[in-house]
Parts: sequence; C-alpha cells; structure tokens
Amino acid sequence: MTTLTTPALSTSPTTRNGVTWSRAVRSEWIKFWSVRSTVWTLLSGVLVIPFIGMMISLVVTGDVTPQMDQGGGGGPGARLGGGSPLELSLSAVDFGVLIVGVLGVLVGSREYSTGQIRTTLQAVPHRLTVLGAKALVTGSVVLVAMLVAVFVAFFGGQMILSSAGHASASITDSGAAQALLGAAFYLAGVSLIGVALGFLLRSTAGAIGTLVAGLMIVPGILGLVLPSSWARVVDYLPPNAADAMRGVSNYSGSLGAWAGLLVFVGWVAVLIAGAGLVLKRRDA
Amino acid sequence: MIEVEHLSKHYGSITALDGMNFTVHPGIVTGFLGPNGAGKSTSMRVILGLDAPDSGRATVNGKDYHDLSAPLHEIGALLEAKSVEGSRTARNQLRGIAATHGIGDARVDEVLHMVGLTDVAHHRLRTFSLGMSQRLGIAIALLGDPAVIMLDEPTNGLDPDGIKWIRELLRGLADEGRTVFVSSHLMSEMALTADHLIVVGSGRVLADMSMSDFVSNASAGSVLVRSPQAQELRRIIGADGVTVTSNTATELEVSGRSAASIGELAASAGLVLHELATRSPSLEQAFMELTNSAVVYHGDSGVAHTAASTAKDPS
Repeated sequence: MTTLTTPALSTSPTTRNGVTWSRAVRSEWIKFWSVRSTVWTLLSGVLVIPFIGMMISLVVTGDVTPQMDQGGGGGPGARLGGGSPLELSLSAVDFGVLIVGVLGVLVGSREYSTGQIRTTLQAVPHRLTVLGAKALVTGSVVLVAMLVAVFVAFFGGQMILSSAGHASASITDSGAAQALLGAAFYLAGVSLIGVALGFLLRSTAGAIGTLVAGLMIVPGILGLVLPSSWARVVDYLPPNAADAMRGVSNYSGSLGAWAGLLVFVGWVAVLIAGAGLVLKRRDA
Repeated sequence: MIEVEHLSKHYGSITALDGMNFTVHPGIVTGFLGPNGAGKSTSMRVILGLDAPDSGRATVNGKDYHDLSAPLHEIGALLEAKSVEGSRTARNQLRGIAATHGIGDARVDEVLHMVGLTDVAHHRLRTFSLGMSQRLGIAIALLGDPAVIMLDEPTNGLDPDGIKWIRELLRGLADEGRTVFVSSHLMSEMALTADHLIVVGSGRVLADMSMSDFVSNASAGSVLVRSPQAQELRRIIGADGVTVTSNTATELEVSGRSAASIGELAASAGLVLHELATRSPSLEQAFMELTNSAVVYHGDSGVAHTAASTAKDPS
C-alpha cells in the first residue's frame, strides 16, 4: 500500500448526469446486495419458511417424530394441532415475519449506526427519494423472495402430506391463493414497517425491539387487557389486520379480507410517511 | 466556491456555530484551522445540507445544497472516512454512490487507481486501515470530478508518504482552478499545504487571511527585555505603535520596536540591560495564541493564559 500513483487529475470527460429517481433506486439496489447482513437475512428467510413448513408436514405424517413432548411446544409449530394442510405448510410465516422485519430494520437503521447515511445524503440530497428508493428496493425484493418461499413451502408441504396419504390442499382450493399471496404480501409489508422503524429510531436494537413489541407482544396483551367492548380495536393492529387479509382460519376478528388489506396497507403507509417526516426534519 | 453566511447552530445548550462567516475561493487551497470543537465539522455538515443551521445560510457554487441537481459533480466531500458499512467492498461502495449520478464503472476504477486502492478494490472495508479509508473517502470525493473539494481532516491516520501525496493532490486540484477546502487542527499541516487560512474557535472565525499574511504577522514577534531599571526603560521606549507589557518588575515584553532600537535607547539613557532577546513565535504558537481564548476544552497542564475578554462563558 505504499505505492501511490501521482494523481492523474485531468480525467476522461464524464457526461454529467443529475440524480434521478431511477438512479437512486439503482444505487439502493447495489447497496442492498453488496452488504452481507441483508443478503444473509433475506436468504435465511427464503430457506427457513419452506424448511419449517416441510418439517412440520413431515411431523404430521409421522416421518419425523418431535423430541419434545406435546405440552412443551411453543415456537413456529404451535398451531400444529388444529391447522389445515394449507396452514401447516405455511406455519413458518409467523417466524418469517421476524426475519423480514429485522431485514427491513437493517436497511433503515444500519446506515445511521455506521454513518454511511451522510454519504448517501450527500449524493442524494432529496431525502424522501432516499427513503422511497430504499423502501421500493426492500419491499419488492422481499415480496419476490417471499412469494418463492411460500409457494415452495406450500407445494413441498402438500407433496409430503399427499405422498403419505394425508389430506392435502391444492392451489385451486378456495382460500389457497389468498393465503399464499396474503402471506407474501404481509411479509413484504412487515419489511417496510422495519425500514420505517429503522429510520424513525436510527437504532437497530431499538427498532427490532419496537417491531417485536408492536407485531407480537402488544396485540396479545391488548387482547387480554382491553374490555370486551374495546375488542375491535385489536382488529386494527397490523398483525390482526393481516390475519384478516390472509384469511387465517382461526381469525376471530371483525374485518373482511379486503378491509384487512386496507388497514394493513394503511399502517405501512403511515409508518413510512412518519419516517419521511422525521428524515426531512432531523439532522443527519 | 463555498459561501457561509452568519451560521449559528446549537445542540441543546452547546453552541456549535456562533455566526460563522467566510467564503472559500477557487484556485487556491484554503485551510480550515481550529482546535477540536471549534465548529469545523459542523460547518461542513451544514454546507452539505446534512445539518440545518438555526440561522444563516451556506451555499455551494451559489446554491443551497438541497437545490443541487447533481451534487457529486459540484462538490466532493470527505467527512468521516470510517463511516462505512464494513462488509461492503471498496469498489461496491463507490459503485453504489456512483449509480446515483449515472457514473459508470470505468470512472469508479479510475478514481480507485488515482488513490492507489486498485489492489484492494475487492477487499471488504472493515479490513481497511484508517489511512486506506481516508483514501477511499478521497476517491468518493473525486468521483464526480467536482469543481469544489472539501475534506475534513484528510491526513488523519496517513503515513508520511500519504500526507505528502495528499499535499500534492490538493495542490494539483487547486492549480486546476478548483476550490479546495481542507480542515485540520494542526498548524504545521496547514503551513505546508494552504494558501489561505480560515482560523476558527468556539464557532466563530478568528482570522481569515492569506497564509503569507499569517506568517508575517506571526514572525513580527516581540522583544524580551530584562533590566533592573525596567520601569525607567519603559518610559523611554514608549511610542505610537509600541506596546509594552510586563510580568515582573524587571522584565518587559515589547512589540512594535526592534531589539536594536531598544538597545540604542537604553545605551543613550545609560540604563543597564541584563537581557535583550527577539522572540519570534512559531506558526504553531501564533495559532495557539489566536485560538487559546476561544478554546472550549482546555487541558489542565497548559500555561494559565488569561482568557481574552471575548471568550464566552462556557455553560
């Protein structure tokens, strides 16, 4: 590293282009794929969702016997008892929520923890463009990856079930497409909630904590704590609205599928808008 | 051209900028000199539109940073070299930034070559030393071939070869007619590099002058006189433009009159001199004296300078 060239300053004439929306997206695309944590997190989501789905199908068919006794099972297989063949194969979606949520948080917060955000905003001073480009890249990459994951989980799971002579579901069954597309859409939406929280809190740990609290802890606690006349409030929380959207069989709320979709999209939109407001107002 | 007009900025109760006001001109290297906490980095962040000032305005080539449609072609800046994501490679770091302006990979490889990082282009940034990171930061600044270059403490972490290289680079950029603005907290560094100096302390400009003016001001110096008859001598040498201070009854510090002149006056009055010495302070001392009154963080071991009356009460 001691060999330094005498700077050749006069350079080939470069055409001078300005920042555009599509160039900002291209930049975020390069950045997304050139950092290990995002790529590995995404990959783990793509692998874990089909893997757990198929494992649970194997458990149901008796090909694999779980080591733990029936009472001790928490985790992704908790719904194992009552689920339909369709839902058995998608058991890991709730776990995938954590993975894509963390992925989104990383996209939003990591540049703050490293200081990279200042370089990013130097190149693209229009801050909402940065947020929009990050959200577009993350949301669409996660959507495509999760579509692959849930379809592989579904077809793999059904294959295992049917080959063992168990009841299985077909993609043409009523509710199957809704469940699969809904799951992928939910996961993509959660990654955007993660991006928004990352920008809002600028801290990976804080944003992940808030995400877990908001998606997993608060809905459960509110369901227990709120008086029954307030029970409908819980229906409007993101995971509950997403359950309605996905047509989850044990959904007991009051929202229809389209209403659930609308409420869930509303949450994502409000959080991204909040992140945009904070991004514009606060010093980088 | 960078114009900074009456910038003020507070972080809570701390005043980071207190009416910062200066212009950086093209074709020369302008040194931005001041102790840590003087407001150098904050000024640069405001210039780049990263921090919003409480009042005042900063422009690059006449425009607010947020109004630049192709900022990388207007101003290339290096703030903190280590502020990168460690698992990304050097080349990908540059490609990601270049993409925002549609700058191609050929230019990316060109700037990597300019800063001598071609061999490590595919290494992850967490393996980079501070010096290598500084060079990558300079590559980022040069990416858009901008008319204005602004570097915050670029020689931090560089070995002597690297420091010499930066000096030549900055000189070359200025000779091409670019605006070169570089901060440092070391006078010795600036003395070799800068044509013009903006000295700051406590968020204000303390001196804004050419390097040669700063040098000649500093080398004017003063004369130390020791005499048992110091007080009589003091009456004789007094004149317009001559200032005499004394710390003890037998010692005078005279500026505005040469040692020869003092010696002749003493001889003609028959006064005894024990010592007559010209003291020309180093540039470092001149800088220290200029900024001392404004330094926020005083070391305890330092000489107990009486803070100038302009120093703000630190609260």
